[in-house]
Amino acid sequence: MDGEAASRPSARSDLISGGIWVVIGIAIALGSWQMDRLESQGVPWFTAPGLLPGIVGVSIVLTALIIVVRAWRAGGRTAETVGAPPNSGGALLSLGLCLAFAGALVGRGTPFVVAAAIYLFFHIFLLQLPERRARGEILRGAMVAATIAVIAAAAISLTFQEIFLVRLP
Amino acid sequence: MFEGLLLLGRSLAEFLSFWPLVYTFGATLLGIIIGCMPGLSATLAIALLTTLTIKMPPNEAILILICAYVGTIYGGSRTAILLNIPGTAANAAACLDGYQLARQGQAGRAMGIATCGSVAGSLFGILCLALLTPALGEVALSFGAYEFFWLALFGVLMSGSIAGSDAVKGWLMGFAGLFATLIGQDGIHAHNRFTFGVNDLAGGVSLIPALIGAFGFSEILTVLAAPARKALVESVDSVVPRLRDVLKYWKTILRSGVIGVYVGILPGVGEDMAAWSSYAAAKRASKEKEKYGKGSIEGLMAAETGDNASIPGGIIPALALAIPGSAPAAVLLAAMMIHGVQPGPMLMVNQPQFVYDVVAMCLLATLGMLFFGLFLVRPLLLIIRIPRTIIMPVIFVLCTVGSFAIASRLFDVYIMLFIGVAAFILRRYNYPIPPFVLGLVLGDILDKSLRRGLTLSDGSLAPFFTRPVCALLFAVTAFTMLMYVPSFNRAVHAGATNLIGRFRKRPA
Repeated sequence: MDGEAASRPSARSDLISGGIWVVIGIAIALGSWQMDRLESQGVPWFTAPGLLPGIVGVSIVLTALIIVVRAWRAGGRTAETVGAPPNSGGALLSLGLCLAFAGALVGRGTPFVVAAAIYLFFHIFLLQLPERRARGEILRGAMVAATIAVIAAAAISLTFQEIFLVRLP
Repeated sequence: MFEGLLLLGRSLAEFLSFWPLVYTFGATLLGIIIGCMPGLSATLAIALLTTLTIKMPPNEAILILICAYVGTIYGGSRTAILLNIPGTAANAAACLDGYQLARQGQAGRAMGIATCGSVAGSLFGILCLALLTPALGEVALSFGAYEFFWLALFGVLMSGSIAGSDAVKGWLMGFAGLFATLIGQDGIHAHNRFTFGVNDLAGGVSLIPALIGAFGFSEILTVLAAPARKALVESVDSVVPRLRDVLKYWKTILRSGVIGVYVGILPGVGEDMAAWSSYAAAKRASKEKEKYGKGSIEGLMAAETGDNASIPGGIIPALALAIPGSAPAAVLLAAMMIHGVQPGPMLMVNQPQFVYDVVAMCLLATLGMLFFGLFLVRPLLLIIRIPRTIIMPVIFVLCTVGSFAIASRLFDVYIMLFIGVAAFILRRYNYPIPPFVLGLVLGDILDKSLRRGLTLSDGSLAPFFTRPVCALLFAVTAFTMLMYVPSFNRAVHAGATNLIGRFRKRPA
């Protein structure tokens, strides 16, 4: 689903995110200003490499400032108690496992099919663990996860490498 | 006209053989399956398949991508009807009446209507694609750097205005996308920008890994952070659409087709806006307004006709101007370039056959959509029931392979991870992602057009505002942005109300 987050963020979070964007925009604008304008090569100012990045940096600052001012007016200055986002545990677990797989396991000597099978097993098993535990099916859950992991890893590797001749990491 | 028909005939003859038909049905089915899974978008489907088909001949690869594109948008209506969750953003409007029909025990009828509307919209869009692309290409031959600058900027800002609920955040994301594409060696002087001495960054942020991160990885995290939903119905009634439903609403189909194509052509405005605009227009013109939102056949038909008509609509500017009409069309455009096709005004001069190849591809995709829509309903219901705890990890493996496959470098996988995490966080704070994609795709055109234009005018900005097309695009862009300033918006509305009031008071 492409749809964006359904709930509107608070004025305070807008104030913080807008502030971060202001800093990013200023950094981009400054970086563009300090970029070599290639004047020594006879390049006129209007074709300097930093021209558009500079304009983009300033545009980011301006739009971010609108967000900041709007949030400030909406009471973003006052601290508020914000509840934990729904089911953030699943997202955090997934984030950790995905980063471990793609950032640390893949391309470091482990054959891709093995790395993919290990990752898939842990991710599927851990995501289903609360439900399986409640039903007393932990062993069955592990077996199902292992079967799916091995089949999916082998199928993906074979499809990409042997049928579509695409290199794997 | 006759030359066009001849070229189309040649294209169809080429594709009506064994392997292209296998690719057509296979890719459309895959697209429908992907569309059925909430969380997986058409943009992701095309990005992943671009990597899978990278070694295939261009026409076959692009056939697969277009079929998957059409299939995904259509497939999204299944979950909209059965789960009240749009499979893709384009199907959000279909939720309103499709889900209500399903609750009334008419899920099959709703799916039949969705199939019918999708096919009708797609066919209308294809007709416009065949007729308008050569015409627009001819007009665009007179465009210079100035016009392309405004078209690109217009696309990014329009996408920002429409995607999401906060235009300012949309524009900011568009600018962020523009910045991301400016990282690396610049296209005119080969000077490194914002690379910080990292050699891998000199090649720039690769589009496909960035898109996979923005629409794949971030979506996986978003889906897993949301509570699970169960399918509403276990069985469905007949999905064969009733002829009287189709004939009764022919005006709605035609109107939605026109709106869908028009919205599709607008740079940066996607299928979701086409569906909502068609739905709103149908409701305004309807004699049965009270049924809308409670299971209106007409409403569902309008939404599905609109979003599918906008697919060929979005391909029109991608082919004729190299400016995509939507985020999935942007990926399709990038895929065409990867396969050696050069979309833009010169396409009709250098490769006129290719435009009709795309028309033929869209026709075949529509055929595949109709076939699976009528004959593969029950097996598709099973796919909706596969737990996301299995689907999402598998999709992530595909995201990793897909990011790596384009250039066989791990750096692209890290780009995917970085952009995915950033997009996940930004989405939680209501920053929309489609404008970022448009910025990413159009940044290069914008950069080169601005500096080339300034070179041609010797540093003068005047041609950017005085050439007729530029003046029009500038006025529309500025007006669109100013409408988000409350005082300007109020003044315009007051002026418009006043004007309408004067006309009404004038005696006949």
